[in-house]
Amino acid sequence: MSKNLREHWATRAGLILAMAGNAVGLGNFLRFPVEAAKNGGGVFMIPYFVSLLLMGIPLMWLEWTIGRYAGSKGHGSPPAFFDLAWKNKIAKYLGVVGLFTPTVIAIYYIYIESWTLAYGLFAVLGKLPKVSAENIQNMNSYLEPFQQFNKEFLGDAGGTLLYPSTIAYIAFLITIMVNLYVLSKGISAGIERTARIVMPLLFVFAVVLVIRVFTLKNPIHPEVNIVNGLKFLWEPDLSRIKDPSIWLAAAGQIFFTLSLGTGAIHAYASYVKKKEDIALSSLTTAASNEFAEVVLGGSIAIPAAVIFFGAANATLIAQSGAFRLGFVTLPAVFQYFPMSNLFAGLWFFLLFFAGITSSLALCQPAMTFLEDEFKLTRKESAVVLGTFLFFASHLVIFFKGSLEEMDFWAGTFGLVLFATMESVIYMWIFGGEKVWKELHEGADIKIPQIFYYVLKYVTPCFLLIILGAWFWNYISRFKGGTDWNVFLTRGFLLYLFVFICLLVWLVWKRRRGEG
Amino acid sequence: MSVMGWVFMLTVWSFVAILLIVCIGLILKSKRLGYEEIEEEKETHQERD
Repeated sequence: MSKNLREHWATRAGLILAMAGNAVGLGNFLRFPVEAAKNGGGVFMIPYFVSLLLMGIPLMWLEWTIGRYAGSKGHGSPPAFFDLAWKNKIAKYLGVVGLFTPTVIAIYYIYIESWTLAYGLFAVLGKLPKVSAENIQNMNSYLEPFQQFNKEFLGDAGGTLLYPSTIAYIAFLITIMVNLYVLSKGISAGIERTARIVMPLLFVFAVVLVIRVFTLKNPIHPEVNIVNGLKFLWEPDLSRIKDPSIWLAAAGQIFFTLSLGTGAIHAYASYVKKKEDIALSSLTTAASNEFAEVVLGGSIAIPAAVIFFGAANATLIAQSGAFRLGFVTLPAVFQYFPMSNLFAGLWFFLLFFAGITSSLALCQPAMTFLEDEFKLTRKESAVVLGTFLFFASHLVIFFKGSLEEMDFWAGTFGLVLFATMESVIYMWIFGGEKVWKELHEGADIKIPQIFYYVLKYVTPCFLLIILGAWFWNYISRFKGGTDWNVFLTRGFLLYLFVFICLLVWLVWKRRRGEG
Repeated sequence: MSVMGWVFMLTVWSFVAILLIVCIGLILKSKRLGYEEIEEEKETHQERD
């Protein structure tokens, strides 16, 4: 596709909704409340907002700017936009991290997304397990049918191999096909149109669920209500403010929630026209995401668990992770009350909508790379990427621990590494002043000058600290024993990284040949 | 919930809601909702010039 034929977003509203869809994902409704509950409740919001202001929003501006700038030159994938900024042979290979990371996340994210689709259909068709009111005072007994149902669905018999149910596999096939169909339709007719339908629905579903949770009462102790749920999440434990782990958790959450360092924002922004505003649009995207996360996401799952099971049990639920909260606890809570299937259905379709808008964005850097650098059509790119994702997903579907391993390397380490590199390459090598000027090209707002200094000095330092902490985590990860399936996953990830490097080498070799 | 808890929650909720409302307000004020409209505007300006 030549530079002149590059697609563009049809409307600004569509662009903002698609970008918000990229940011609003499963993490907003599952990860955020769990992290807040585990890390001091209300006090978690102090490092959370400090991270948002010093790292999240400045990085958003930077990534939109890089994307639009690279798009105006006919490129939108990380190897190309690193090469544009830094005329060094190594730059394009550093950019491989930005292509590797979202593609690996997409491998497992689409599978998790398919669980939400399957569970949504189970709920609507009344096929979720029935709970026994007699067991309500014993949380484990009450949740047991859902726990068992989840194990059978994923085929977790306790060994290193998983044997997923037929329904789980069919849901995966449907989900991957839906993703590829939308991607094959292109930016405006595919992603933008989907976001314009799905995002308003997502907000409506979330508001309905918030109202439902706000009107819940404990079946045995009616005096326990939403105030107890909100107290659990928001009561600040100020003694923990000096705990570095809380700061790290908050900074990590800002990364995940805004989808920073994935290359997805750049890829979407590369389809923004040269003179269109990005400063205000990106801020609106961040604000929409924060509203979905802090106000809506924080008012559903954890408060419901507290109301139903009490604060002590809710702590155990939060510690057992986001998946247990989303796929076991919350549907079990809804099952007790009238119209249970409707509310469980709303919950899982809310997660599915949040998931699909994010998975489309995660696939986009690879799509853009195939289109821009290999000159494939969108349909061809979708077929190539879809085939790869289909086969690669089988690692996650059948090998226990594979998902967690991919999540560590791509979803944790890769994001921070890529964001650190982009902030150094663009703010220091390409030039902070050029970035600032580019950001304000066609802007509807003037960003306070202080953010220039934040972006140039504070954000890279912030990122380096987080990277150091992840690195420490990485060392400790190698101390324990490792199963063979984890080694298999690491081998696959290494092979994939080298393979993408090879593709990049071929592209640039051909470019040199073309002169 | 303690007064501090309410203050934390309501401050954060208000901040996020106000930020979103201000952003949407600024976009509406800019009257640049659809890119086709901008293109039409530009064409009109070019014709006038």
